[in-house]
Amino acid sequence: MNANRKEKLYLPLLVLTGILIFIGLVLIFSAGRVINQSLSALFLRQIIWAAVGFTALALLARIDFHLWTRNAGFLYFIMLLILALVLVFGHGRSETQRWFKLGALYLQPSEPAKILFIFVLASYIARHKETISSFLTIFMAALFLLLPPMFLILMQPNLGTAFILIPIFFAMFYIAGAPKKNLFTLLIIGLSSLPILWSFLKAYQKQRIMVFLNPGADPLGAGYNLLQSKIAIGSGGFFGKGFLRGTQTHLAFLPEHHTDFIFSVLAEEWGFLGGAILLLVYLIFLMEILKVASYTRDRAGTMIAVGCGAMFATQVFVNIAMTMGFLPVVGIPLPFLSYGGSSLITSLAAVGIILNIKNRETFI
Amino acid sequence: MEQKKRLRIIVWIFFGCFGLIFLRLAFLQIKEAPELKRKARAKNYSLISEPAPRGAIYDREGRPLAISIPYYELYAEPKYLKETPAEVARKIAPVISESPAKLIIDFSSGKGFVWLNRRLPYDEYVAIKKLAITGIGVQETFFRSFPEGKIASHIIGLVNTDGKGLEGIEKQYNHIISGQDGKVFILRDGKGNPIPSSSEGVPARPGPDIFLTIDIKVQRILEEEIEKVFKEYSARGAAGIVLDADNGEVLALTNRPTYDPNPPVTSSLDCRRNRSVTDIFEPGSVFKMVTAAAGLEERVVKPEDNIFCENGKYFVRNHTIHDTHPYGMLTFREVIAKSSNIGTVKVGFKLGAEGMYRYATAFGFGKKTGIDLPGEVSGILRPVSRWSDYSMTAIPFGQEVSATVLQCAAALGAIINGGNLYQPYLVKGVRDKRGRFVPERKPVPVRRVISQATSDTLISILTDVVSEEGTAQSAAIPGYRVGGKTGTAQKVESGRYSHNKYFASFSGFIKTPSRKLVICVMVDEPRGAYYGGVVAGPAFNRIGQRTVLALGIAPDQPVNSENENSNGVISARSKRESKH
Repeated sequence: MNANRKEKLYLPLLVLTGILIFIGLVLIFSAGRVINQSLSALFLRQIIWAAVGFTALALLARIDFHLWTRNAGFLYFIMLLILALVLVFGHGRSETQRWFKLGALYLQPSEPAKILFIFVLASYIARHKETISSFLTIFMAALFLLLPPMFLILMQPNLGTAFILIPIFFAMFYIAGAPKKNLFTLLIIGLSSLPILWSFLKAYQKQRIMVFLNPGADPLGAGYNLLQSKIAIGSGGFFGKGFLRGTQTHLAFLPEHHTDFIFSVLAEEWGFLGGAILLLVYLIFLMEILKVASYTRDRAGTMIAVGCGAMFATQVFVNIAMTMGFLPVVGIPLPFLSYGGSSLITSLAAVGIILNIKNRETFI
Repeated sequence: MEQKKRLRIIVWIFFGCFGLIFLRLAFLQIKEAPELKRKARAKNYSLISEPAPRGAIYDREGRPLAISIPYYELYAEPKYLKETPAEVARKIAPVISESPAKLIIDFSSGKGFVWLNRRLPYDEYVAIKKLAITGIGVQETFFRSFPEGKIASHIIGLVNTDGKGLEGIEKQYNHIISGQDGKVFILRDGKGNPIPSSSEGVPARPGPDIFLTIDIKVQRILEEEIEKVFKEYSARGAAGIVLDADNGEVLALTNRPTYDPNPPVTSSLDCRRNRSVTDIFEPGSVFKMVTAAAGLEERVVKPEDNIFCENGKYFVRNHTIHDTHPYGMLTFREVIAKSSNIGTVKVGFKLGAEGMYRYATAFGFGKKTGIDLPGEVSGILRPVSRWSDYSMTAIPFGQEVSATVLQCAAALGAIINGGNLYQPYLVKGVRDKRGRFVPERKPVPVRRVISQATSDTLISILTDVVSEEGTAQSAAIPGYRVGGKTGTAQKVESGRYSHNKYFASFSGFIKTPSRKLVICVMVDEPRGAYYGGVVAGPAFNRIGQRTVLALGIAPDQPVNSENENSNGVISARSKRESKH
């Protein structure tokens, strides 16, 4: 109602974000303390990413999010463009093309693509408020808004990020009021086309899924990470081994422990207690986001907040579940904790947008 | 409101998902934690065994027969070098006299582990340790050295490249002298690279030292003399034992052919065989001691009893027994001194098969002596039930029975020590880790076989053997009470007694008031001569003479000039000595 209110950032969400990033930095610092000295540079770099991310957060919190929903068509185009370009000009390891190389920086376009996807979908839902109960609305959205980016991300191939778009899509349409019947129908159509998806998967992805189904079969091969991660987590016990005391993660038993398997570092060093506290922080964080979704009177705002909430929730759930051998190993970072600029900046940007929505909840 | 309701459902879905993760986390970190902790430990520690130095083997005076010599292996783990390869090379190269260029190549080879020197001397080892360069390590290892070479090789045995005893004392006492290898847990990273200075574990426990009953001075004498007789008669094999009759301690034991246990060991297994305990031979006349002991103890004969020796041919039980030299009437004393088969068999008849068998068994024949050496055999002494009609015409003078040289020595020991059979043994004591000397064992008396009186009588009879009248004048040693029994046994070839292959032996003793030594000499297939008294007697004599000198055993008998004249070797030597 007054100008000051508009400029104020919603503190709980910001504090929770700060806590999560702090935990992430502690873990990356610990993970970096391997004999291999070059890893400690990761800690410093992550601080830089966090700084960049917070700048993005501050900026986005001040830019009216309607700017994005109004230009959804343009954003849709940008999204497809960057996803397509990475396939052509991208860099990657072992058959994958996920990154743009800009000097020494690697940018992963599928990360910001998630946010762009949320904007596009929010705008679409806001515009089809009247026909939300129609199956055609949701079906067309699935066909033209969900499938193209999913397809492009799968082509990289990046099974995990492609998969994340699905819960975002369903959560947003669910909150938008799409009939459950329609959602189920779409889900069944999607599931029945899974065999087609399977044929798109690369050999290593198929193998990972097979390994997930039977992890003991090949403990030194594809199941290695999974087993090592389980050992790392389990050996942490209730209280953990203590800061910098994790042996499994430090001794390079667990590759990628600073990125996708950062949760193992936490669980090993801080034990069940640390793991449970982290889960609690995430849960409160998600509740805050849903609160924003609930209180805002702007339909697009609700949609964006729900989309971001679904995105975070899915990433947290899938990532942690996979480190514990609960889900197949797919390359999904743990929001705010995993090392990586693209993921961290995207996550902070999402928080910025939610803060913007929160700031505007009393308007309109 | 529909939207609020749906948001609440989303919230519940979030709670559900997080609940699942929470439960899984609890399962892994609480329920499965012990198992996963064990797995984690197994994965990042590797157990490296740190070799324990093997205990040394000494003779009875503490003179080394087998020792473990440490040496050092220098290696580099280039990954862990904190300084540049050039710097490290510059520091190390002068110490190990290696070119820095080669070291730099080693460090830059990209390998995780490089041997720099497999045989680093001690001083260089200390120098390297002082440098304390991360990524450069030294590992202590041991090799077994036998300073005496071939001397006592059959007793000491040898070890394989892993330091495990293969023969002799090294094998028999392997469990003791091996000590306990240390366990070093080395922390390794996921790629298997050891992390420097992260080891923990149990230090190696050095094996205790073993002290043998062997006296290396006597052993050397025995080796030389057995070698001499082995060569002189181009024999197939030979064996000699010096035994302390009072307690069963083996003072010396050797065999021919022999070998050097120091690596590289190229000798054949045949050379390594400890014939005195693993091989059997028909003792022949040596066994007459047993018959005589039994006859005297059972009072079926007295030393001065007359026995008719059938003029060298005795047809009995469809079997003809021959004497080498035909004799008519002899006293029992003479029967033994002159080694008459016929006279001995007649005593055997008086004794009966059961009596013969009982005494042979009592003296330890047909059973392992139990000496602490691997591979001992029991010899052959069939039970009476399996004896034939001829058995009693053969066994009393040592046919149809087989024994080891050691069994003969032990039996003779019982005859001269007053009648007690002792178990021969080689290990006198063990020096434990704290330097305490722990007597491994006391003499083991097996049984009393004959009375003191019988023992005394037998000693006097066996002394006659080396008299002018006996078969082994050559064995006599002036100034000492010496006795024994010759053995000239035909070897059995394809079931028949050979007429040109013999075991020539002499089992004798030197007895003074303070010491009673048994010295057995056995020569397998001597060429040129085959009588025990001719082949083995002189060897016994030389061994005996030198041994009493080496052990400082004073003579206690008047020097008998007759004896001197009857023995070429002795008289020559005595004359030489008298000139001084």
